[in-house]
Amino acid sequence: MIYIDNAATSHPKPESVYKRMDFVLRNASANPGRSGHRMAIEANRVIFESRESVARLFNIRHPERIIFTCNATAALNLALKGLLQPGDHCVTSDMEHNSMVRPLKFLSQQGVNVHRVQASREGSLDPDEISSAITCETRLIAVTHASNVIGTITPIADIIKTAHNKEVPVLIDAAQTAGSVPIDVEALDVDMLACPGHKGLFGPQGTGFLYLSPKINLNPTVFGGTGSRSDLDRMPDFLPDRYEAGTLNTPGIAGLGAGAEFISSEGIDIVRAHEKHMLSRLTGGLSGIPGVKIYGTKDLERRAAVVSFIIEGLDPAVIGDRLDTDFGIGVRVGIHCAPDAHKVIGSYPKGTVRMSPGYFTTSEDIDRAIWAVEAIASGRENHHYIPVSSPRPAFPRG
Amino acid sequence: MDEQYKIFVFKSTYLTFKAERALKGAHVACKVVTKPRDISSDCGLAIRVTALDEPAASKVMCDSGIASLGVW
Repeated sequence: MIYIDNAATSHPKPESVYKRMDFVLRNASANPGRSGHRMAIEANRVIFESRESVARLFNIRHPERIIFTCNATAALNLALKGLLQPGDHCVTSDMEHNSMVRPLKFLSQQGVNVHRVQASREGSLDPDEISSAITCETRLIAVTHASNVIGTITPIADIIKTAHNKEVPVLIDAAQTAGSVPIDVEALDVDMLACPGHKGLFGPQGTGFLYLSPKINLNPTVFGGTGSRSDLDRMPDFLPDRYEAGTLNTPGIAGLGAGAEFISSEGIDIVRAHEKHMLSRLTGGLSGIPGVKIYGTKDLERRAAVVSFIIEGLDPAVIGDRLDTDFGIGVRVGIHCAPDAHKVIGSYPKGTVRMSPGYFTTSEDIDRAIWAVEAIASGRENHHYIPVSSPRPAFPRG
Repeated sequence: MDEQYKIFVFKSTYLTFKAERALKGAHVACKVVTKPRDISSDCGLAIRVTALDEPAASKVMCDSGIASLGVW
């Protein structure tokens, strides 16, 4: 099939990810941090090396402040529930995914005051508006780095600067940008960064992490064994153990580490350039089809590789079904766990068709997708596709 | 305690493996081992070097900015 659903989960993975996971699952998947035999120690080394690889990719000076989680949602939950207390004020936006919206809703029911800054119709957030929303009770600004619906990139550098001027930390949800858009944690002075492992970072599902700057101290939200300070009935006070209770997903984290190494070795600027090229080809092709409406900014510098569109008069679910059934093209349709973002762009409640190219998407994949959408929009049943673009590269790379 | 060996103990498993990497990088022979029970009731890990290599190991850790909790 032609897979254009990388905003949900990247596919395929680099060959090195498959190989690393297979090796670790066969040879080093004892319990890391617990037993002292050679396989357990090797499992520990796998975790250590993956943490270091992730740190290198994001220029994180303190790798021990990377907390492995089972996904970005768990990372966001730890950040929000570990920091915010009743009476605190939190500034967020109406472009957020439910992984941010739902824990904040829960916390608002516990007495946290949540203020949502409105985005423009293109999904842009104005740093000045965020700054204006800060009060003396504001404990956190929590925003997405890029909309999972339309890809609009949030100006996090400006938001962090303005927030730090008022001594407020910032939580960045990098679900759509980690591994695809360069993020220099130290240069940006990021306080908290939540990332999934299974999207742009090319790890498997069931992986993710939360980075905490040395200025941030959270309450743990999960309690249990860490293999360290087992004599205590409370969580250790050092990182990452304080927030990593329970057995880690060793083979998954191995895959995440291999994915991070793959991106470092290819160069994240190369990854970003390729995805931007695919984005340009896709938006250019779709915009020429009568009846197709594309949402979001036309400025691709401010856009992650996510394209939401509709065909006038057709249910997005029907379009997605036809793309899959008749053309073998995998996309995501609906409201993408972000109902408020769809209200902002005017596509609620039906939602959109979302295509999200990745690093392994080829020009031919994009051309086929454009051709399929054109066929559906024009009501054509003919499925004979004539390729017009460059041949596929060796696939998958890595 | 076997006097032929010295045991470096660290606050966290992360630091233990950071020390192992630094020592290997400096070609100081070492082994990650379970913390001996007479050092700690903790079930964590530690690094063992020969008594002969202890000064070199201490220097590597000092140069790498890796703080141990002590040497036994």
